[in-house]
Amino acid sequence: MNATAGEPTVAQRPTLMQRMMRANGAMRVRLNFGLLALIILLGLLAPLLPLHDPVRPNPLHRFKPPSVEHPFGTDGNGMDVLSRTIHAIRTDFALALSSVALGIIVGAPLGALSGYFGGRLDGAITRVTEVFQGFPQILFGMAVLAAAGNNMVNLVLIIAFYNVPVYSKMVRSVTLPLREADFVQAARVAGNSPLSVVFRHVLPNTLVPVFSQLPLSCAYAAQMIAGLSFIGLGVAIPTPEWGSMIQLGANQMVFGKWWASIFPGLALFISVWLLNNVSDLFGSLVVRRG
Amino acid sequence: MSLLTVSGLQLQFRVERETVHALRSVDLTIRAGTRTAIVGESGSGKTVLSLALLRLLPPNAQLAGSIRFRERELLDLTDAELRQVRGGQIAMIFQHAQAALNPLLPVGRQIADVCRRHSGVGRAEAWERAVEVLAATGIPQAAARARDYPHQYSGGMAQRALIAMALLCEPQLLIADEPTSGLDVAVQQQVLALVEQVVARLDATLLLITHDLAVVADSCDHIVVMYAGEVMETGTTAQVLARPANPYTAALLACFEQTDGERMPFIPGRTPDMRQPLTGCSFAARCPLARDICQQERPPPVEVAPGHFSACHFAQEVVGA
Repeated sequence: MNATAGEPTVAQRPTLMQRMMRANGAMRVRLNFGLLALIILLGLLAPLLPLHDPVRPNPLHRFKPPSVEHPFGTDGNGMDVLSRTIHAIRTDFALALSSVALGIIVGAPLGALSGYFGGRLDGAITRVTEVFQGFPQILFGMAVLAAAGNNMVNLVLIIAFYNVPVYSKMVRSVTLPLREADFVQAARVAGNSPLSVVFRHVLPNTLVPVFSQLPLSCAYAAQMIAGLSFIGLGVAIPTPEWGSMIQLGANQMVFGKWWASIFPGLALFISVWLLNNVSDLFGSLVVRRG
Repeated sequence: MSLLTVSGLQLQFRVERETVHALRSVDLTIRAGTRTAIVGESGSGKTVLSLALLRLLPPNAQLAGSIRFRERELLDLTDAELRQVRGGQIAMIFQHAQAALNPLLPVGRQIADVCRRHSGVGRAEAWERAVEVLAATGIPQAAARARDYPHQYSGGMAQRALIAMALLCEPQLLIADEPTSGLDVAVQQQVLALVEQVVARLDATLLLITHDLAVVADSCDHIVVMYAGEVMETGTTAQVLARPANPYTAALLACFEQTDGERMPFIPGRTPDMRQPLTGCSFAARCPLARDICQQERPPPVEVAPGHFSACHFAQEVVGA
C-alpha cells in the first residue's frame, strides 16, 4: 500500500438519522420526530391559522360543549379551547426551551471547568450544585415566585436553576476521561492556555450527551411550568398555557364539562411523551458510540 | 553544546496511600543537533520521562530534580513561560495520531490554530500555511483534505498532520513518542523518513521514544536505555548496539537477535515493583551477573569508553566480554 499516492477514499458515513433508524426501526423514528415537528409547526403557525382569538373572552359563550364553531368547546371565560390549546404550544415550548438552554449555558461550562481542573474548584462547584438539587422543586418555585414576583422571567430562572446541576454533572462526568485524552494533551503541548483547552477542545466534545438529554429536560420543564401554572403561579390567565387552562376547567369536570381541561391536558401529555421518546432515540446514538 | 540537561530527575505519583516511583533519579544530556533514542520495555518510564520534560503531568505527580533546556530551568518556569516553550521550542508527536487530533475540528483548522498562535498571522494566511505544510508532509490534495475531519484520515495521514503541526512550530527539540506504533510496516518507514526529513530541515534535535531497536539503528545516533525509571546505559548507537556495557542492554539485544525462532525470546523474571523504594541495582533480580553488591548499592554510571556510560558495577567486564 502506498500511503502518499493511494489513500483509500473514506466511505460516506451514515447520517445521524440513518443511524438512529437502524438502531430503533425507521417507523418509530419517523413517527416520533414527525409528530413532534407537527406540534412545533402548529405552534409556530398558530397566528396564521384560521382560529378564534385565544385571549378574547365572551361571557355569553361560557363552557359551551364542542361544536363546529368551537371544536374543543369554550372555557369558563368563553374563550375558544382549540385556539388556546394551540397557542399554548408557543408559551410552553418557548418557556421550556429557554429555561433548559439557560441551564445548559451556565451548567455545561461549570461542569467542564470543574471536571478539568479538579481539586478545590471541583469540590466547590459540586457541593454548590448538590445544594441546588437538594431543594424540593415545586416548593422552591412557589417560594421564589411568591417572594420575587410572579412572572415568566422568574419562572424561566427557577427552571434554569434546576437544570444547571443536571448539565454541570453530566459535562463533568464526560470531562473526566477527556482530561487524559491524547488530543487534549496535544493541545496542551501546542502551548494552549488551560482555559482555551477547556473551552475549545474539551467542552465541545462533551456536548453529545448534552443534546440527547435536552428534549428530556424540556419535557420536565414543560411539566413544571404547567404544574406551577396549575397552582396559580408562573403563567396567568389570559395567556394561553396548558397548566392554567387545566386549572380553569378542573372545577367543572364533576359537572360533566370535561372539554376545558381534557384537551390542554392531552396536549401536555402528548408533548411530554414525544419529547421523552425523542430523547430516548438520541440516547441510542450515544450508547452506540461507546 | 548541550540543548537539554536532565539531572537527578525524580518523579513520583501519589496513588491513594502508595507512592509509585516512576522515575528514580534520571540523568541525561542531549546535545543540539543529535538524534537520540530512548529505549526500554513497557513501564520503563520512557513516555513518562517525555511528558515530564514538558511538565505535562497529572496533579498527583511530584517532580524533583532539574531539567535545563537552553540554559533555562524548566521546573522553575511559570505556566505562561512554560506555554511559550511548549508551543514554540519543544514540540511533541504522539503514539496514536488520530487520538491526538480533536475529533470535532477539521484537521486544517487545528494546524492553522497552531500557526496563528505561533506566528501571529491572520486566519486566511494561517489556513494557507496549513495547507502548505500538509502538502509538504505528503498529503495528497492537501487543500481538500485540510477540510476533512480526523476520522476521515488514515492513521498514517493523521501522523503526517501531526508532523505538519510540529513543523509549523519550528521547535528546537522534537519529541516523538513511538510515532509509528499502530501503523502498518510500509507506512512506518515513510513516517520515520518524514520525521527525519523534518528534523533535518528545521535543524532540530530529535528525541525518539521507541521499543523497536531496528528503528533506533536506522534513525538515531545516540541511545538512552531505560529500565524501571532509571537510565541504564547511554552512548552512541554504534557503541551501545555493538558493545553493550550493561547486562540489561545485552539481554534486550539478545531478544532482538533471536526473534526468528518459534518462541518469542524474553528476559526471565519481572520488572521490580514500582511502589517499593529500591536500594540496589534495579535489574539485580533478573541479572545473570548479579552479586551481593548489586542488591545493596546503586551502581553509579561508569564511562567505559568516551561518551559511553553504563550504570553497572561490572560495566567494564560486560563491555569486555
